[in-house]
Amino acid sequence: MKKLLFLLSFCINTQAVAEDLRIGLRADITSVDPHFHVSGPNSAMASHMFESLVKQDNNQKLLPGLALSWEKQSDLIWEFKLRENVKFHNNQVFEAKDVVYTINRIQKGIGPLESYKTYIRFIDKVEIVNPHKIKISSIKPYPLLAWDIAMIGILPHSLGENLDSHDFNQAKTAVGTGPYRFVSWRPGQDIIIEKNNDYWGNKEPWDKVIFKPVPQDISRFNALLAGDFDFIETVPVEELYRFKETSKFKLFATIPSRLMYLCMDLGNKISPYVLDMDGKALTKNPFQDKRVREALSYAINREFLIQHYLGNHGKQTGQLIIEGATGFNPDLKAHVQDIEKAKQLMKEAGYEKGFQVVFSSTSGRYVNDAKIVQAIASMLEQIKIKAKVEILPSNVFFSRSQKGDFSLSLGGWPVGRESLSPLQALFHRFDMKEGHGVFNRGRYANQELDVMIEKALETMDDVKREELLKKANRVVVEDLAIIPLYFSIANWAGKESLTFEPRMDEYTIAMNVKKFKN
Amino acid sequence: MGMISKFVSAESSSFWGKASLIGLFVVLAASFVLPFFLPYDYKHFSDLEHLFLKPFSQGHILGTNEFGRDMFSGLLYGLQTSFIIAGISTFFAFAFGTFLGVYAAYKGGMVEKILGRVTELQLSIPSFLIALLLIAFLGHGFLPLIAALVLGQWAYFAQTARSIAKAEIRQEYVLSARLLGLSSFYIVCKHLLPNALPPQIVVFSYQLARAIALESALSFLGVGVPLTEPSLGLFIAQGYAYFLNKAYWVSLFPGIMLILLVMMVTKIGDYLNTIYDRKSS
Amino acid sequence: MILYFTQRVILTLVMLLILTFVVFLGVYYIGDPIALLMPEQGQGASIDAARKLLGLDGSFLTQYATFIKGLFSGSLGKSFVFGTSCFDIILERLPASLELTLLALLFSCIIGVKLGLYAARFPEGKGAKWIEFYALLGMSFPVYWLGLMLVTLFAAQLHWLPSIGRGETFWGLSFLTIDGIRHLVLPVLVLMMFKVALFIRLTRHFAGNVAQKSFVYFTRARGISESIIYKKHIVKHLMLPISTVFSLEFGSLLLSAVITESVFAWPGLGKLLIDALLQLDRPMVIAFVIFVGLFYAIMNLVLDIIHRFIDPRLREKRWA
Repeated sequence: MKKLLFLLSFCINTQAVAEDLRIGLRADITSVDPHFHVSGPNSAMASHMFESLVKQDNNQKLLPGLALSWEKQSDLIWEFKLRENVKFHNNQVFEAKDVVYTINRIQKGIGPLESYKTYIRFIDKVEIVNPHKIKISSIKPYPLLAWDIAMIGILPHSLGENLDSHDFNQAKTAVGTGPYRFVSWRPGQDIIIEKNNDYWGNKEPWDKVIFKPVPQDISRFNALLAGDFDFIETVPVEELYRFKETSKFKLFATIPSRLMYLCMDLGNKISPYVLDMDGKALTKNPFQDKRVREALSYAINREFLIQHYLGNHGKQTGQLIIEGATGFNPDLKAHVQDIEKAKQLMKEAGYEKGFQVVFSSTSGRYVNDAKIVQAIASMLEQIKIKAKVEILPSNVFFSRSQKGDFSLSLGGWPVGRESLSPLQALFHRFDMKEGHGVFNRGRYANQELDVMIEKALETMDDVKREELLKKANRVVVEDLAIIPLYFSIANWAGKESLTFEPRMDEYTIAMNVKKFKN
Repeated sequence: MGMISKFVSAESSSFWGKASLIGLFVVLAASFVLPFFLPYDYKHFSDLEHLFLKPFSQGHILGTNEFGRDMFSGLLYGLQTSFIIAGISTFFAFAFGTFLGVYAAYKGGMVEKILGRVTELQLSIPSFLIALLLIAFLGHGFLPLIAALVLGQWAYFAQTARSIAKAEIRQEYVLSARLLGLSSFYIVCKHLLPNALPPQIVVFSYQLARAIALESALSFLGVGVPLTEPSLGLFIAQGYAYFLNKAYWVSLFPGIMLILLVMMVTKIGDYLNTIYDRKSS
Repeated sequence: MILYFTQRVILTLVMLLILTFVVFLGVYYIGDPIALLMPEQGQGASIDAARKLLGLDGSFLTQYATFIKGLFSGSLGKSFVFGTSCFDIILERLPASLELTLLALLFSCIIGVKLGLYAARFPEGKGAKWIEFYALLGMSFPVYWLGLMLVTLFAAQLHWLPSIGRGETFWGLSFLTIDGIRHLVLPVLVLMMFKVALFIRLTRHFAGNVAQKSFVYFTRARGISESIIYKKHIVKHLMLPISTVFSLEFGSLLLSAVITESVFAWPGLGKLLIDALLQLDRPMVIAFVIFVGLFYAIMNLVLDIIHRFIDPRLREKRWA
């Protein structure tokens, strides 16, 4: 009898009692500290345990978080009304002091690059009106203040001074107001969080969530099939087709979130990596001729790329942002492949014989980047552009791109709801001192555009700003400062019993994973 | 310790040894000559209209890959890459290592002690790791790859060369040469090196096999040959994604070829080793 | 004896120091870690500030000096990526790698030697032919391919075994739990494929050698059965070379399990290194190299000592 009971005890699946969720991630976090370093994985994980005054919904629209409202009182002052009756995981009650504490902490500088400072760079001071109302003043008129605030998770002031990021590896320090509490993090192995039963908002259905980083896409996918995970992020492109055939697993895809484009050298009179067909240097830079840029754009079959190298998870585009974002122009459409037109344009520009160019790209940083680039090179051959594909490791690639050291390269940019930051970072004339055009790899320079961008940066009126952005976007697209290709679409996969609401910022969060009810 | 580097089955049947030797030459010749006669050249012809053609369709013996490139031609080019990279690096490791080993043995004293330490240290660290670290420093590309492979392998040659040379040094003819006042360089080159060569050929074969395997492992990880160049390891990696679904041929044939190649070269090493063993006993 | 040790220890330390210099030099020139670490939306000014913070603004020698100073205070540097002591992180991962390596090597040794002995005893039989074939195949098969295929078959398709990660641990060791064992099966099998072949070939060679030695002939002449000859004499003489190879392979496997670790997401040292290399976590790479250098140097030293004790023949020879 004893033996029987003993054996039976092995059969009882204790898992059935607790509702645990096992998620497979692409990358590990680098710290539990929500202000350690700005990175997708860190921010996504932090949002489970720490909350900001302002939240972003799945489409990046701003929502009340720990703040009930925020209003512009003047061009420089914003008033935030804070939520009451919110408790931190250590039972301390949330109030204005915590916001001041948090911002001061970031100001002191945390993490290897103190990268969170970028989100408080426009904040002049935070004034406490009462425990549930604060006024934040900016150094100059800054329309995007609320967006920056949304990135900062609030910590309780009871944690005190002299907090090291390393301290956050313990549950008693990793304290926030979020729907989950931190349990443990074994670097490279797993991160475990558990339900916060005292959460002020909607209660989560999961008792425990266990995240495991598995960088190899195919391994992570196999783990889902094997039942080691309930939910994973990023299915390898080649496996996407499977989801049509099976009902055991479901695929979830977001709205397009990453712009992929071709970047050309527009700053040099003679481009360093362009040669004529015989191998001799050219006397001018073909990319500076708009007709050549157009020819490139018409030579590419975007639909083909999306179908064969993205598993149909992409959306071709003719501009930088998606529908619904500020500055969108509905009439700017993606170019459809037209080889004849492209050849004609090349002829008019005097490049009927074509030329050679080094086409640089990363590998593994963007979905199937290496393959996309090779396919594009194939397409360019049809208009006699011999593109020699050069695949570089990420660090080398980004070093060179910062210096503008490419003739033709593949680029990517996360897409958001507003186009001001991509415009400013990618197309404003390169000016390190002012922090403009930091990522303007091609060194595109258009005075008219610069004026528009700078004006938009200071325009607090939403409607006026939208007008400016629409115009700016049109200039960029019609001048072909870059050649927009498509938006890649992030995807997730899970068991059939689950459902997931994808987010535009591509964060994988347990709060969006719910049980599927028929 | 010198014996460790010769892992041989004492009963190498000479049939397989000879067969492998012939087989290797056939493959070598084919990989360099055949591409000229094929209708579709992997390197110069990509056809986006004909992706993933099955083997034996439209003149593509082994099908096409995700860019419409012919996989049979690709296989041959991949073999070329294996031969060239492994061949060059093993050769330089051989030259460099043998010379160092013999020279150190001859010089003796501090020089030999230091070399002995360095060699031992290097031998205990896996060549794969050495290669990986070196590539991280030197960057990607053919040259760093070859350099990394050379540095990962020279120690094997140095070790055997040193032990052979040490034995030779005690011989009378070396003593007499020294007494005659001949320069050490001359002695090393004229007498010691030639005697050190035969066992080195065995090591060479084994190292060649290892180099082939190493290059493909590094390419699989993406740090070997540039991603756009043909390499058997790269084909296995890139093709695996298509393995189970549609296009098994992109990964399968390069994989089989790689295994066969390494087996052949290793078998040749066994065969040579048996010959050397018989000769020396 | 003591003189010998001191000589070796000093030589080793000097070499390690030179190694750190070389590695530092190499890492210094690889590429700009700032470019990788900076978030996409970073501003121009903060890039310079970041450089100052990480101590990357000084000249090469300044940075190296700082590093050496740190070494003497016992730290191997702070990882860029994790922000904590590299040494701690390496130590954390060590048990996982050790476990995998030791188990794989142990099983490979036992199985490989057994098979090798069998083939040496009955070299004409069918069994020997198959064993030899496997020995050749096992050494030629690409490890990574095998790993991927095994996972796809046993985990993804058949659902018999988990596909990734390390199982539950008991006292830090996962082979003490059933779940842990299930997670160990596939990675260990993958590592074993090559090593078993290695041990088979090794055993065949040495068993063949020893079998030819005169004392075996005499023992046979005395009429002692073959099996006893094998068990008592030959196996004993195998001990030395096998143990040497075992320890060498152990060190080698500890790190060359890199590919297996990445396919199975096994939280070991190999994966740590690859990640550090990819992310340009310079302090981690340097700490790693030092750790590896030290580890192997110590291991060699210990090996040497053991050998001198085991084999009396070596004791007499003067070193050189």
